[in-house]
Amino acid sequence: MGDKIMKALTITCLVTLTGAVSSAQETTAEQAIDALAQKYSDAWKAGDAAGCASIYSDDADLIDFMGMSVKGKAAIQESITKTLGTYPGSSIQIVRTGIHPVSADVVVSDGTWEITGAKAPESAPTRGFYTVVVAKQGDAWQAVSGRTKVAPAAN
Amino acid sequence: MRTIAFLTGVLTLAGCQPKEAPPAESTETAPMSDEDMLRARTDEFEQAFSNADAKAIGALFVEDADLVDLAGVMHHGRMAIEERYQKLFDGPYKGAAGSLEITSVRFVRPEIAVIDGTYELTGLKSTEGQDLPAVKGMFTNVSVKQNGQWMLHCSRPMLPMKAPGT
Repeated sequence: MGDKIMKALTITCLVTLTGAVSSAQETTAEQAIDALAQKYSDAWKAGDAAGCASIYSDDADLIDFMGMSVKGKAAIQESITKTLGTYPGSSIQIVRTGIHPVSADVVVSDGTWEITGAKAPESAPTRGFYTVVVAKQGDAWQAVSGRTKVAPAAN
Repeated sequence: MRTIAFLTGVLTLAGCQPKEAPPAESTETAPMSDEDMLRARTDEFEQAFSNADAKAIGALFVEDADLVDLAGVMHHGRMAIEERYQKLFDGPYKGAAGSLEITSVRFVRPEIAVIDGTYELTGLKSTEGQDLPAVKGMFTNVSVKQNGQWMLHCSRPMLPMKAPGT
């Protein structure tokens, strides 16, 4: 009886482990990008600039809708800290509209962003577009380049 | 006679060229770096733009390329990009000239590059024919190296809220 239970547990564990590995292997770029977007918006809502910056690689670069360019995760975090200061207590909705595989481990993703619930100055835009280049670094997908823009009509 | 020919052959093989023979000039040039090749492609784009040649612009893109224009509209595929430029050249960009300047080239992989830069459009006119001020914007392109040639894969122009260089 004890042997049977042990055998059943072993099989269950093996199946579970196999399933976990298999599902990790099957994580597509699309799923990874959506997970990064979710992580970013969760961190934004918490006012956590470090959490937002964590989706970027150490050597990533970011150009914002003002045309300001920053390089490196630390500088990106600093930039996001300032942006969060402009939109205190806000949420950001990120909607992916396109995904463009450049290679097996590099994709370009496009989408829209919208900031809600902010007491921001009227001149501060609350919606726009983004483009992010995401690359697989080891086992993880990370943003290596981020670009945000607003539609010319909002300028 | 055979002896002379034989000796000439041996001397040549030994690197002993006759004194009067000019040294052979190498016709090989140093290979272009990937960054130089990318800059040359940007020059080609600029030239094609100034010629209002949408087909030549399309030829710089891979078949499956995409362009997200200033308004956020996606144009997918070389043909769609070509059509987009043709419409611009027939309409708002008629008679305009464009200049591009690369500000950064970053190799995400040895054969995948993210290129950032600025552009300036001059010679624009309103629908009433009035001269319009130059438009200054920025662009981000992703290029891939295929069969030794850098091709545009993704193009993302933007008009920042603060014009570049101001």
